[in-house]
Amino acid sequence: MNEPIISVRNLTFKYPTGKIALKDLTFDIKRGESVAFIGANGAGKSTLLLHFAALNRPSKGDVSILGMSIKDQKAKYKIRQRVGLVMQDPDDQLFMQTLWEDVAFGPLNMGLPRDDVEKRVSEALESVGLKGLENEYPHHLSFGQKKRAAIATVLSMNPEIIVMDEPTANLDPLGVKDFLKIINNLKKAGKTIIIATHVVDLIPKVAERCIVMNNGEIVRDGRTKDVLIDRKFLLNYGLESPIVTRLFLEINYREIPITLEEAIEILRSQE
Amino acid sequence: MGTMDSLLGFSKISHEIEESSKKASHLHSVDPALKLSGAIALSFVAQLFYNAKPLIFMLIFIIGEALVSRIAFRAFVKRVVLLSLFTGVVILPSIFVPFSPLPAIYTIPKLNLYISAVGLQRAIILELRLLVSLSALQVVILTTTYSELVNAFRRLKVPKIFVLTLALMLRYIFVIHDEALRISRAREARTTGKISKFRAIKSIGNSIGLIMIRSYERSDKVYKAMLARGFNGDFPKFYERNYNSNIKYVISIAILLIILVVDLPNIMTVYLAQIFM
Repeated sequence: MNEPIISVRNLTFKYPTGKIALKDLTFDIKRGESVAFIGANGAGKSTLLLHFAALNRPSKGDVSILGMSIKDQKAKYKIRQRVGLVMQDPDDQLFMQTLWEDVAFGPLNMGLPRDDVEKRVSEALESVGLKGLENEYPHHLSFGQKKRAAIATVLSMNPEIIVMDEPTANLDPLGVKDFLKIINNLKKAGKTIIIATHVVDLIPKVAERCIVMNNGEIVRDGRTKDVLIDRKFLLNYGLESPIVTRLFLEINYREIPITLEEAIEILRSQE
Repeated sequence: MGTMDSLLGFSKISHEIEESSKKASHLHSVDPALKLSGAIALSFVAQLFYNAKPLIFMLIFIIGEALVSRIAFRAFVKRVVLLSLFTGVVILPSIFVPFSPLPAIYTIPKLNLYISAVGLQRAIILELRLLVSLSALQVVILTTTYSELVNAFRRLKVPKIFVLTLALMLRYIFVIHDEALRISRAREARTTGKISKFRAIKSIGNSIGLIMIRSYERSDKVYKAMLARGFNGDFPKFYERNYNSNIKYVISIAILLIILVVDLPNIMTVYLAQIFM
């Protein structure tokens, strides 16, 4: 029960061009944890995420998902059934003719019976607010709808681990709000959530743990609050603290928040 | 603006096709695999005729199908005529081919080329066959959704590689189109005066190259997304709705083919007589 759901040991990944994208990474992720990987562009976040879905093969070291090694050819199919990967560009993930076919793709490949597939598709679309658009063509959806559809394609497989690469990229504020609602529901359902992002203001709302990456290495792994209030550290790696944190750091306030809600609470408690 | 107009025109055409394919009519309720087989059969049979009469009869039948199916008739006619004009250019040289000792019906003086009666008849027959084939396929396209079309090809045992390529093409042509539109707009925004045709063509060539590179990069990501959801070399079998006009369709095609086949010997005799007399 205490075993980690994801175990990374001395992971090194080298592209065919020779570029070393990940250098000797070691860490664990527990079941039900929500973790944010942050780093500047080119830090290796997306490359790491592909390992969690057994889509990249380590050059050295290993990654174990739910006790199965991603190097094991037979295990990788089982891993992919239990890990849902949401990519940055939803057009990469919506490859079927209709929304229904896209969301049903995973369950059908799992060999589930028709009733089960229909139920899962319906529930997945409802959970992302796209019920009624089953027969719509993906190219007719707005960007925000496509992002939600991409999440639905993964939810229908009912994975235990959900991995998202820059999930709020190019989303408008309403889209971000909808996304946060979906993530919170997934957390309540006990899913393990892994997000790669460089949008620091988003992190406190989705992850309790923050792993900072730079140039393929892990430079810090800690509680989200501890990482995000260390502005000096973040600036060294091309990152920033959340805007509300910066404000309170700038005025040298005794308590430093990492979200707007926390800031409001702090200020109200002073009244 | 020429490139932009063409790109925007594509959106209009694709919208017409999609709207048309979602309507309700007799042909919309025919199994797409059956419709496709019917269209291929009609195209094949059209190639057997050397006489205009049965080809015109087939064309009237197909136009009748199109009218009854409530498809966008103007779009149907426009597409068939445009496509046949394009391929008509290939057929054009055959009007100059002399296959009989009969005199030319017209001579182009400076080029010393003459248009023969038999050559002209041959060109007309070829064009009519083309019109029949194009119309038959257009009616199928305008009464079938993309996903039904892909499933139809699969059920007709077309090799997997072609079906997968068709399916992905029908999905990603719109993504590539949007990409091309963005590149075109960016190019237009930085064109502040008249440029030479050579530079314009070079610029378009660069854009095409860029689209190809982006498509290649995207293909890797799409493949990973497919693998992540259990893709094993083939798309899963999707459920199809019930089609309740199959029998009516089979009967109408069968009647047409019987009429044509019964008349075929008569037509062949007329043709052979023309050659040897």
